[in-house]
Amino acid sequence: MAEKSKTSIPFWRDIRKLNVLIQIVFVILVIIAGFVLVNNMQTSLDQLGKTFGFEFFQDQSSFAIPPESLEFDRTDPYWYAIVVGLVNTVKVALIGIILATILGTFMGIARLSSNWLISKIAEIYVEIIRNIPLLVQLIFWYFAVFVNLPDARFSIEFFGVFLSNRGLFLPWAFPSETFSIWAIYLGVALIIAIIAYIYRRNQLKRAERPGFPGFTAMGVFMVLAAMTWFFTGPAPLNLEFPVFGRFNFDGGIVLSTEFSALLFGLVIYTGAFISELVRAGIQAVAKGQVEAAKALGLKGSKVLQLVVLPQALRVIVPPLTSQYLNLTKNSSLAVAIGYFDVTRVANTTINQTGHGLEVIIILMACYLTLSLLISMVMNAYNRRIKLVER
Amino acid sequence: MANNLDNRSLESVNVEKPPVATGGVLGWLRENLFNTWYNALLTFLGLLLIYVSVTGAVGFIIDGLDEEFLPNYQLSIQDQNLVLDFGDIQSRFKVDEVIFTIEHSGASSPIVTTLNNSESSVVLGAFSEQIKISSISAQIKLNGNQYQLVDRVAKQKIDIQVSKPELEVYILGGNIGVEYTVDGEATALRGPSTLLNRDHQVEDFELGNMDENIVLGNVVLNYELETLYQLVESEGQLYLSVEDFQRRFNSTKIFARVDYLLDGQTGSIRENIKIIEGFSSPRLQLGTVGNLSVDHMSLGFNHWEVIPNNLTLLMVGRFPRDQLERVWFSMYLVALLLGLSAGIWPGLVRLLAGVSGAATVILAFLPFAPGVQFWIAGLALVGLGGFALGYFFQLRRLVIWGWVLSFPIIMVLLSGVSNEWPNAEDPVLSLVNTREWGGLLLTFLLAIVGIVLSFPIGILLALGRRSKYPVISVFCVLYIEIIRGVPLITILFMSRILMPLFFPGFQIEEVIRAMVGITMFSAAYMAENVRGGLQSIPSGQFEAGYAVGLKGWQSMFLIVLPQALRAVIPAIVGQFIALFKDTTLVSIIGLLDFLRIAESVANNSNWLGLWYELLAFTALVYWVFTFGMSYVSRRIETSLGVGTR
Repeated sequence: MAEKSKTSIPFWRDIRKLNVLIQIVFVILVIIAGFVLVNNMQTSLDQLGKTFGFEFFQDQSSFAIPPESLEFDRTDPYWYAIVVGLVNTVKVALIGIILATILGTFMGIARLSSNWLISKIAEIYVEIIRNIPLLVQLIFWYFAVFVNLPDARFSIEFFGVFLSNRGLFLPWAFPSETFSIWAIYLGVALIIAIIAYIYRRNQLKRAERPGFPGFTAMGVFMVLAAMTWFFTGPAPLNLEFPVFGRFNFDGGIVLSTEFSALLFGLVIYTGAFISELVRAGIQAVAKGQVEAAKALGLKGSKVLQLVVLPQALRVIVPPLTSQYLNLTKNSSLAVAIGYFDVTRVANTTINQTGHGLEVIIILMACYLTLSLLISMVMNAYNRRIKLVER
Repeated sequence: MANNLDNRSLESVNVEKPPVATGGVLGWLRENLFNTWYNALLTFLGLLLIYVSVTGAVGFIIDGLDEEFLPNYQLSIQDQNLVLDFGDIQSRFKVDEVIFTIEHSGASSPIVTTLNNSESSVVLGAFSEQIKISSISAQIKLNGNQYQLVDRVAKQKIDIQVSKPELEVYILGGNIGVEYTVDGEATALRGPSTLLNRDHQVEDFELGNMDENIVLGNVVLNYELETLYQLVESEGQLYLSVEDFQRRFNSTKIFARVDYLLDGQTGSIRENIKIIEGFSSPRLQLGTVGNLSVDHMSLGFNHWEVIPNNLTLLMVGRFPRDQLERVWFSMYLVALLLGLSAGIWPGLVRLLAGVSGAATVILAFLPFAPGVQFWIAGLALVGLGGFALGYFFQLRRLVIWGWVLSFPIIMVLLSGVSNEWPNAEDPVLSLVNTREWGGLLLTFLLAIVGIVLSFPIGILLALGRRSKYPVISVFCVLYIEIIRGVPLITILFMSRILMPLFFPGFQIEEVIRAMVGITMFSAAYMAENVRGGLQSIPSGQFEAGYAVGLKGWQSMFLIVLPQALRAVIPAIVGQFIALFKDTTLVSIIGLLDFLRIAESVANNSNWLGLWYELLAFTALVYWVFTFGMSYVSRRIETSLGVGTR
């Protein structure tokens, strides 16, 4: 008996027990640190005569948010202000992602152009924009350019778009009274397009041919939409151009100066980074691939479509995801130029209510949710295009 | 057969084109710019783009706008009236009618005035305040056609003084009070008047006739001010720190506008609210009234003199001017170490030192103040001396230690030791409060502190993430992913607002709070870099460590980690570049970094609105440093051979 207990390993040398012990000690340390911090915070809050809680979100906000997406009145509660700010953030991030992708793709391809001048222009664009802090660029666009634009009466016009110090006025299609009928037709067209997509996909699968069933579906939808447009009689959408009235523009939609400056800055900045990704992605496709495809007798457009792009996308998409995340996070710099994104609303709320901790928790939750959503969408896309190993 | 052959040879002679130049400039052009028709088209488009942007940029740098298309006008003050005189516009344009629009800072609506053919000057009305004309535009009707002339960057500042009321705005028990005194024979002073903050929330209040002061109750800012008031008190100060208060308060940028009727003239005052020191309670005062003078009268578009006039401010912020040699000594230390390193290590380090040295020599010849020129020249000499020392003596170990110790030494140099050493009258290293750090100095300090402090934390997090203990690894993953999922500005808000709550009783300076926030943020990214390096090291290295009898931590720290860190040097340099750019965000929370100083100069009444000049300079400085660093990073990448193995 005594012999046996002697041979049993003492717990400080038993690796299995030690593993558990180390983790327990770590947890205890974290709990103690957390407890000390929470306790300190409670003391400070008591000194300030404040309490921790989310009830104040029901209170009347008493600040105004200029209309960007949702209407907000100073009698609305704080939680609604956060919602409006979040929608504004999503708006600028979504449009920014689309435009930055287009700009970045163009610039990335331009960088690889056989035309020396074009590739140099793209290179200079990238080298200038990447190396200047985004905040400096945003402040430049806002304070030095957009605010200094001419008065609305002398606004710069190009193709029905008016640019002045009141913002960017764009033509916009507004639904007319027949729009609801057309919407029904569109719904039907969408169902037919989905059926066409499935049919085409199966057909291609049986024939073991590569192709894009999405294009077929889109074509079907477009044709049906155009056909029903004429069936509905009066046009379901009316294109309105901004026209200068007595004091301001009527018709069309307006993008505020703040929104335009923020969008402009974000797109130009992120576009420079995306163009580098596109360039690297295309360069990563080995030259032999293109030559092999040509040797097989594929046309130039088919080489790009079937050989180069699928391989380049595999390289581009993962870092592209992080650029999309960066753009979304960088939209928080709106706080410096007066666009009411969620960060600015949160900042104002903190200033007014003094509930710093609660608002910051909500703010971080907002950004984490957005980051997670973008990552999920892009990862799903990445899974679809990634190399299928056999 | 022969006939056939002849035919073919004839054909080949016929189709042969004249020889094209394949070499020289022409050949290069043909090869690179005009090889296909669409490339030729693209080339022309590119040339057009270059023409437009280059002429625009040159025009902006030299004069700002196409002067030829601007009427030559002159603004002057005559009997307290502002008179616009554009004598030669008629001779140049033969106009039917000219409508001038002048936007200025004093009023919400622009002045619009019409000129008929016979007039050459027009009275724009009386102004009883300092106005800054922000834009002058003219619409000219010429034979029925309309032309627009816009001078967007007319930077004229005109000071006109009449007997206007002096206003004081102050905080009294959580209320904002307005107090005014009237010199001269004021007949009436009337409201309504407005108080605005930066979010353009307008609070109307009535200024009663000849009341001596009024108290604005229930203003929106009321509560906010109260909060700030309490915060200042709760930090355990006996008196209210005016500076601290001002910094917090400035972030909301409140200005007041008072419209009044005086001697039959209406006018309005709009001034930023400032704080004047020396009162037991924080007191805000409207800006002082200017003198009867016309400033910046000559119409120039760009005022590049704003840069040299504010250079010290832009470089070091409010660092005490009599202590500037401490900043210089810090730079000398770096120059010496760089010179020594260049002497020891050839290649990239030498190139970097050479380029910095050349830049320093060029700077020394620029027309700075004589003292500054002397300091810069000394900088180059010290670097050269260091190079000689390093080249001829074996100082490797010493220099490495020098670099390690330089960080704490510079920190001590800049923050000081004590006000009483060696004696109270003339301390060698008097204390410099971190809130006096500013400008480019602060930008560099924040970036360097962020990268240096986040390095060990990042390594720990990376090891923790790969830990075999699930609790630790989950903790590290949570930290890293949460930090990477939110923008830096929220982290900065968090550290600014929450640190005083978490550590009551300590007075934590704003600069320190920002440094903590930046370090927390940077550590998460550093951890991911280090993890990437760790993953690139094959497990055989670990096993080899075990095989020679090393313990787990020994093989990690002696074998795996050094290799992993070497592999991620370019990524760390890249992160340093990103961090250097990201330090601009501290300007949002009110620290006086390089960008914020430039902004504050553009808000200064002497240099009001010179955004183009200041931002162009700021952008240039950031660009030079960032581009230089990214060049170095690319060179390191090739010299380490990362990615090629």
